[in-house]
Amino acid sequence: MKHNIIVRKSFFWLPFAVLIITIFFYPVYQFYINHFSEPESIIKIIDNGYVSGIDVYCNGVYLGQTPIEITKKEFENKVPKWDAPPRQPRLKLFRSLVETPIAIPDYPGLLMSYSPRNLMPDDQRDDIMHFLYDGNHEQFLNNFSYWFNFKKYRCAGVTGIRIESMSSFGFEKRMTYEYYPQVEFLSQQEHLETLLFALRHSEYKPDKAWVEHVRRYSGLLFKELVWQSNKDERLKDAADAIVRAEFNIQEGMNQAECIRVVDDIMARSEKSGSFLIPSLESYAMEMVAPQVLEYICEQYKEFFRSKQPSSRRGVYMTDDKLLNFYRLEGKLARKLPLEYAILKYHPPQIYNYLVYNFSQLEEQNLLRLIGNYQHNKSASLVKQYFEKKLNEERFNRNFSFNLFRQLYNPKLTDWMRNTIEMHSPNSRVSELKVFFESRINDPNYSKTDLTNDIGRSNMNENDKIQLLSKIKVPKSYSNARHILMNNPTGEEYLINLLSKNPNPHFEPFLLETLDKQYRTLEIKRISSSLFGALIKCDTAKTREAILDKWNENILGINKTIIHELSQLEWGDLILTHWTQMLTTTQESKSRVMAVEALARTDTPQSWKVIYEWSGDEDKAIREAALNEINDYKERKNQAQALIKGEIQPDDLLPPAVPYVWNEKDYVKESTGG
Amino acid sequence: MMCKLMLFELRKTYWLYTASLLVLFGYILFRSQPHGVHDMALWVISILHGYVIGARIFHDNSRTQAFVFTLPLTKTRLFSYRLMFGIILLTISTSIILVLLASGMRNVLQQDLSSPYFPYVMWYELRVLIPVIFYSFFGFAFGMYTMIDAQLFMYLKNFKNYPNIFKFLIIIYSCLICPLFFMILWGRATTVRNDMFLISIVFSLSIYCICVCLYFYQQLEIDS
Repeated sequence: MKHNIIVRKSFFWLPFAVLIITIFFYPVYQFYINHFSEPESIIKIIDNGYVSGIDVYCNGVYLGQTPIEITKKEFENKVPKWDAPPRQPRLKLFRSLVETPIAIPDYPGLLMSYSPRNLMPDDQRDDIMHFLYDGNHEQFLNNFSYWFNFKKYRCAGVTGIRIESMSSFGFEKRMTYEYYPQVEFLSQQEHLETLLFALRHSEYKPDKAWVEHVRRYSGLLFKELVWQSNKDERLKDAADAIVRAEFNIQEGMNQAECIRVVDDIMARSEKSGSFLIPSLESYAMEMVAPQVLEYICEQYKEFFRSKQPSSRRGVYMTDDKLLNFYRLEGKLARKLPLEYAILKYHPPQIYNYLVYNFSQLEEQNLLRLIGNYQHNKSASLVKQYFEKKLNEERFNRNFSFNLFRQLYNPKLTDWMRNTIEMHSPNSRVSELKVFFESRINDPNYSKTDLTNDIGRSNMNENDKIQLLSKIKVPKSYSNARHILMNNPTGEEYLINLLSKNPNPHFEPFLLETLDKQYRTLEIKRISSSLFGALIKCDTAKTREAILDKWNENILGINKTIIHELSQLEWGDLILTHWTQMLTTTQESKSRVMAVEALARTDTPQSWKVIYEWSGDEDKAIREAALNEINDYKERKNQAQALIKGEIQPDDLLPPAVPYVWNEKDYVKESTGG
Repeated sequence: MMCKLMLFELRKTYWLYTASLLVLFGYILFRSQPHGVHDMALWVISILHGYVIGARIFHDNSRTQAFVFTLPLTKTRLFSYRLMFGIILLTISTSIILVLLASGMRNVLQQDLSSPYFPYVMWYELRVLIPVIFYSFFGFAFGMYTMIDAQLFMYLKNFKNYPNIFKFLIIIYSCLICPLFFMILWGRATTVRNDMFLISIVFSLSIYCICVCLYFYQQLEIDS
């Protein structure tokens, strides 16, 4: 009986006792944590997504691949401090004109092999000011005790000096230093060009060794290859072959095999915590997703069933090269490729599920998926949500406009444009410009309507011209012409734009400007970019006009034309039209210049001419031709050795002069020692 | 005898029970947004619905007390019958909601073709039963608790057992503070993912409320 009473009493008292203890002791615990305990600090080194999985070394100690998370204590135990700035195997200066002895005239323009960081003491946050450079680089660089070095596939990376972001969480006084190094891999461009050279010489049919090589370096090379293939269709097969080899994708695969590929892609996303478009994974997803949409939808639903934390961090970046980068932590990253497939193929079987979950969660990411379904209902859901939210004062408008850029629904386009105009009076211009820019590739938005909308909008005239020059319909020129009538300086700006992004519909404008400049003899002023634009425009009429001017050769314009031709990409198809013209060059200096353009054409005909010129009587021409032939041979050998693995990508770079610290500054090793 | 008691409880309860049930049905059938777990208004309505049942069943005024205590029942058994009756009423409410939702009644009543949420997908919306069941059960337990509260004081006062009064006060106020405390602690971070956590707290509180009441009835029986 007594025993029974004790059991009964403890049954009632225990839970309440626990509760009361929690209520009373939680503040005491917090007080202790805040005042007596050592706060735990965490260092995070996260790649910016452009290249992920970078090897990180600090003061010669390997820390692992990004993303890295390490406690400050562990970091300090692992990495010894360095007293003086280390020897820099490579330095890259952007805008410095001073070469020696001072290597660091202006640190934001400097990229170095070892970039310095300091771990800030927690109790001296004001010290952040010490990290701002005041011009005294001796004192500035001597402040640092940790020097980071980045590599990917043993290729050297260089990075600048930046101040890390710092944040603390909750009551626990935990500090987190986040470091997003912007690493540039010096050999990346040279590496790709060498491989493309090899590809051109195998008639754009990649052999197994080539594919294997690109696969091995895919993190650095693949997206660059995709961007190149957007300009040059012939590279698309090579990109396809790499993806197929990477994921073992064959034609006519069955469902089970496609599911294997999707699982593989999800596992990779989880490992890197990110998903990049374009990448091997995004390409593979495009290939297999249409056959396994049912499986993708089921997998995506799992994320709503399981109790995952709902916090997410998504980064969206876009530039001329169109890179989309999404990041999530842990297992949640597995849903990024699934989201991409849903966004791309809009499977109807998951629509209702997305709508239902959006009504419960109000997550803008779900709205992105729903809004791209081209129904009236999805459009009205987006409208309803934003019409309610945009009137709230604390609502983040810029974030929403960022979302608009990712919605391609013809039923929403007009509404989105009007909403941006209405709700961003202060930054209307840039927001509208970014929005219109995102519509240029929208297949559902009539290009003619787009040009008219741009013409009618409130943007400044240069922005309008910039956008119109990118739209490839006849109407864009007539609209641009209308704007140019009131803006005489816009002509020069437009020519510059067209020399970078050619648009054949602006052909009449270019020809008119050429005629006008010849009539008024203003040809010297902007001829270089004008001829660049004419060459890249590459229509029958522009070719004829250039040939006319070539034959006239007023004010030595032929040199300008040759110079512009030699600026084109290696193996550019445009160059093949000009081989005949370049071979007619008579003047010695022009021929020397033409050799480079002919070499870049990289066709048997052009090499035949260069070989002929290598026996020319004129020494300068002969030397230039021989140089190109030697370069060609060297490049061919390099490409072979590179693919065989006999040389590393960094061996393609010209030898660099290392810099050393002479107590005061960085100086070239040979001069200052 | 049991039948007699049931009829008696039903007579006490049915007006308020029907009224609160109609409010609950109205809300569930006519809300334009899809239903889910995370809906404060639904929580409040469910708690009120349960509270009405608990409070009405366990409330005995002087006239009804005379009837109840003449029944040849032990106190514990009386408590068990009432508890069972309350749970039956809650089950009826839940079953009707289940039938209404599963028969697609919402789509029949709300034919708003312009709404982005129409037609409502019944299999997703059945999730609404989770908060309805748990919160109305909590309301019921809490209603029962508050009704016993008054009797408890009377009982303790009669025996002049001050340590016991102190003991029960702690229990009572712990139970009252409990949901408040967790609401504040978790409320700031409450997203839909935390709802199930909140529901589990509410459910354990309901169980504790019932246990305390049962304990009280047992003590009453032992003392008498």
